[in-house]
Amino acid sequence: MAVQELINKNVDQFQALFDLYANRLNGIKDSPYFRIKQDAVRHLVRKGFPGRKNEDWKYTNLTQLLKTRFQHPARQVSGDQLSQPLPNSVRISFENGLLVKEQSDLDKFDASEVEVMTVEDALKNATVKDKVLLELENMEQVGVSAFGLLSLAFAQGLVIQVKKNTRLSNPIHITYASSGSEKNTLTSQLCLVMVESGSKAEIFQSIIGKKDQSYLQTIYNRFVIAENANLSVYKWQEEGDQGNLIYTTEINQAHGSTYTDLSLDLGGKLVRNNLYATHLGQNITTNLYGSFVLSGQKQHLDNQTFVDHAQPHCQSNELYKGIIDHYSKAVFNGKIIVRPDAQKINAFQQNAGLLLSDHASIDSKPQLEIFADDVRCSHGATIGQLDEQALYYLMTRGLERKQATKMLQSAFIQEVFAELEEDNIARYLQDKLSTYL
Amino acid sequence: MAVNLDQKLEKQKTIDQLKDIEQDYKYGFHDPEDEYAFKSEKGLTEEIVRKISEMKEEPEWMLDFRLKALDIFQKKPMPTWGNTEYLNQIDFANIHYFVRSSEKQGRDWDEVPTYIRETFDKLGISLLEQKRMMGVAVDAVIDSVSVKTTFKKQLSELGIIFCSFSEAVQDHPELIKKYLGSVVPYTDNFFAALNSAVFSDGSFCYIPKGVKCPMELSTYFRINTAGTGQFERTLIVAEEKSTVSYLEGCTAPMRDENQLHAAVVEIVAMDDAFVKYSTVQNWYPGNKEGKGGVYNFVTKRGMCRGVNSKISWTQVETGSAITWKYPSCILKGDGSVGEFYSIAVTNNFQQADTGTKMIHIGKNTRSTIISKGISAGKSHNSYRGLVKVGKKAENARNFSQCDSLLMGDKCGAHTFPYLEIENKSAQVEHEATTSKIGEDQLYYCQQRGLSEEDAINLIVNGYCKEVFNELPMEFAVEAQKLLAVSLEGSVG
Amino acid sequence: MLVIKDLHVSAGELEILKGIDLVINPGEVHAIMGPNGSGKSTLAHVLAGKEDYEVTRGSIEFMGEDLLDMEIDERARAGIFQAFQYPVEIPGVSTAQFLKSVVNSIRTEKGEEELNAMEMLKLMRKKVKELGMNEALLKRSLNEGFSGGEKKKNEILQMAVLEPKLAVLDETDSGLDIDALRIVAEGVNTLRSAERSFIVVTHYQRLLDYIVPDFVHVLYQGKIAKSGDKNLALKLEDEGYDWLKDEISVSSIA
Repeated sequence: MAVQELINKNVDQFQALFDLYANRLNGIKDSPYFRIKQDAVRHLVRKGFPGRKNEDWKYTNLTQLLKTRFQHPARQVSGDQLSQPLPNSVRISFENGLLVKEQSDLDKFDASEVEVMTVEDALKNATVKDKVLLELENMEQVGVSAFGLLSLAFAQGLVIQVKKNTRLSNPIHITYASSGSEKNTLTSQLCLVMVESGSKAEIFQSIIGKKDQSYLQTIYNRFVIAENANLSVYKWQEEGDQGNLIYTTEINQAHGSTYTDLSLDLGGKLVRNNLYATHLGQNITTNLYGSFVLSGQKQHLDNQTFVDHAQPHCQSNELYKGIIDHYSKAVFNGKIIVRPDAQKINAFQQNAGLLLSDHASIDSKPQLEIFADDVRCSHGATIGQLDEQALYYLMTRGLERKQATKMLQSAFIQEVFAELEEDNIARYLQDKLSTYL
Repeated sequence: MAVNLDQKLEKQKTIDQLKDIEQDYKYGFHDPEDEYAFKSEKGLTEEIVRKISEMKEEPEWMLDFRLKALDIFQKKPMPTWGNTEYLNQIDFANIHYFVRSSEKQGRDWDEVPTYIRETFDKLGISLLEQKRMMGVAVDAVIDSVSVKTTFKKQLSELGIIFCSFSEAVQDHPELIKKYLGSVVPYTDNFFAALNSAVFSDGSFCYIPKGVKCPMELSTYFRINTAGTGQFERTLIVAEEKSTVSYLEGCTAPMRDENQLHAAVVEIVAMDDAFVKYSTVQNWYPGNKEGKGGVYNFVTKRGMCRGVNSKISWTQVETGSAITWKYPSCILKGDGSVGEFYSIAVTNNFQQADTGTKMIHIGKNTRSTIISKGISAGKSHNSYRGLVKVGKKAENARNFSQCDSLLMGDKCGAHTFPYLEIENKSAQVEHEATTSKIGEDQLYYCQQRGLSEEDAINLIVNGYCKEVFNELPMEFAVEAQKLLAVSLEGSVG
Repeated sequence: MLVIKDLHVSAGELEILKGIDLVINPGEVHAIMGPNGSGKSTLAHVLAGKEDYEVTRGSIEFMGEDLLDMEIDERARAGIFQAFQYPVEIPGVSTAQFLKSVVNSIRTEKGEEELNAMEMLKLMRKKVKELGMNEALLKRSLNEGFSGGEKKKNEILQMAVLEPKLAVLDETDSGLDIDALRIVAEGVNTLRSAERSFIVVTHYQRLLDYIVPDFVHVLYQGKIAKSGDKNLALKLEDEGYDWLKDEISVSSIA
């Protein structure tokens, strides 16, 4: 049997998993959320997962992962502190897919500034209900990726709505932790953020897994950014060495809005980040930055970005830099489309990788598809190793080789952090990063 | 001498008249078709393949090769990248796969039928004659058959073999057997399989050890008969320490329907050998409404088999309705070098999807990619390329630059570079830009008295200079003119 | 040769020139001076035909023709040459190649035969020599990687080859050290003749030590505030533009 057939046969397991899951969902079976979840899983089973023939998955082979027989994680909460808290932030914590109220500061949010609640609660809330329902239905109907459907079907789901013309004074720190002891679990997260016009907000995500624990986590973000609003999302992940993460963000930006995404990837066996930005108005800025250190024995990280310039007078900046060691592999697949009549676009994309071992590899596919003429677009990709001369220079000044190497590697990655405004976040991420160099 | 002058004047008159008739495409005439000696039935069957082989009096092994390829072709699906919408219109059953233009191959210039000689005159604007005078050896392939090879004698004194593919099969079977399909196997892709099954003729070129070929070798390709496909094959083998520069030119008459061209070029370079392959492709691009034009699907690949060998591709692509073409280098020998210099111009409804693959296998291998795309009208122009550095390719170096220039807001420019790096000592740099001609540059040129059109030509030529520099002089001049013709009417 | 009447020019919403009258006869050198933002460069661009500017009122007549009716390149072929303040770089196009295209397009329009590469090269070599410049300039890509001085010299070389009727030098002295300034000015002086006129736009008097003007006009707030001979330039150098401002405000009050 062909691999693809096998995988698609295996997709049926998600229906069974869903039936199990549904049994536990007493009380919400009448809600529209349940109906959407049912549709999502049906949709998934019908559609299946992308194969390698799919250009977007050319360099990431899902065969092994999708052969797995998945199970639900136990519904348990360890009571441990899930992640080191970000100073001056408001916490929301999930453990094994469930909101942990004890480790969340839900009561600290000022409802006149921001609403934070589970999807279930949001659908009972008169002010946000309609919008949330609309977004959820859009996801199901317009069709997110297969992994997005998994999130839609299985996640408890979080909704954040930032009110008009509000400057959130503290970042929202969301933690997703996997702590169970079962094998081959599937955990799904869904996060819908709606930033109303003129507001500014920061979200910080920590994704943490346990060593030796095998699991698949799907995280699906949908960010709806209204006119002149500004949203920054920082994410760092330290999934376990047997953890698999498919992290998807869809960004819809209205006129004059700004979105900044910064990602620091450190852990995981197979990690895939999908970022899709769609521009619905003019004068929009999208910044996508990523850094990573793959220092494990055999990690696979695939950064996929897609900026769809459908409107004139917008700009996008992308910078991805990382270090790859041992048998690990990094993939960068960045696509920029400038649609017809989307004139006066500035789109820049840059990715660079350092290979530390004879077995490490990089695949890079930066793409430009340009259908308008008055644009400035460029991309660059460089792949290489540390500059031996620089290393030599540092050593002649008295640094040990190891120290000198670390310094150069750190400098290499730092370029990405230079884009950060927020000091606390920069410090936090640099802290995490330095233990991996 | 007097006769020569008269002939020249006569030719010039013809050219001028032709220009009068068809301003856009100067090669848009076609020769009388009824003078063809043989034209196969439409469609592709085993019988046709056998017939082709039989007519060419080919040995058993050659027929065998063709039949295996046919089998693959019939099993392979149509490729799916690029814009396949148009491709589905190709009816493979509605093509004449083999046309022979004259009963016998002209062995000498005088033996070549008059109308074919006239074709040459019109074609090359006496290019052939010029080249003869300048000492370029030419092989010309009209429709399917090689009709003329010049300078054969002079070359053979050096041990160089330069002849039609058919002759080579008869006269040098050991070389053909050894190298045919060694770089592009018939299993390689859909169009390579098709070519391998039905290829009619082409050129074979063998440069023996230590020989520097004293003149440019050149092939001129032309499709003439309506509803035909042209499937030629070129094989170049450069032995140790040999050098050769090879030119290829292509034209086709104006036709309302689409014509198919699926060629295969294979190059083998041994230790310290250097092969330079230059193409000016000017197949009929279709008219302003996108009707007609050649579908041009070519597999070109060079194998740097030897230590310090070098293969350099230069191409100027201005013609064809659709082009898919990726001249590539397999850098197997340690220290081998691959180069790809390309200009692709598209206007009106043309589509060009071109690029290269640089496969680094040996140690200390180097490659350079310079690609300049220019899109105008409603055309689409894509760069698609791969740089692969294998596990054992220590110290591989690659530099790629892919620039796109847009003229008008109805066209598209696309860049699809793939980089696959499996060795840490690799240094790979890729740069790409997309832009339009600067307003300030235009203003500056116009202030000096150039019309907008001339200013654009000048700027475009400057933009392409790095590639023009790689072309042999006379080819570069022709290419620049072609560029101007291709972009005519794209402004304002 | 050139007759400018009541010229009003706007860029977008902003009116820059507010009624200029100027007559230039063959062989004359007119210097246009004035503080920054007075509209000096605008005048140069309007003569050349740059599209960013809109003539809202008035007329310009050149050799008896309506200049405002002509395209940029038509004006150039009719004999107007602008030496740019910031010459543009055109990668891949050598100065020699550029000049050949330009010269031949002008010749074609005049019904003269095109010069071939050899003739062109001879002409350019001659001019380079006359101007005391380096022949290497011809081979390099137009203005690409040129120093400020080299760019300006290149402008003068082009002028020498094209032999315009009216040359407009837009802040040609900016960015030039004294040596380069001397070479450029000498270049201009060798081109002075009874048929050729110059408009020299400059902020500083120092260029006028070398290119001695017949007339000096001071442009202020979009109008010619004062005209005179070379002594006006000297006065400006000594006293700056302030006295002028006072004079204007006095007169506008009066």
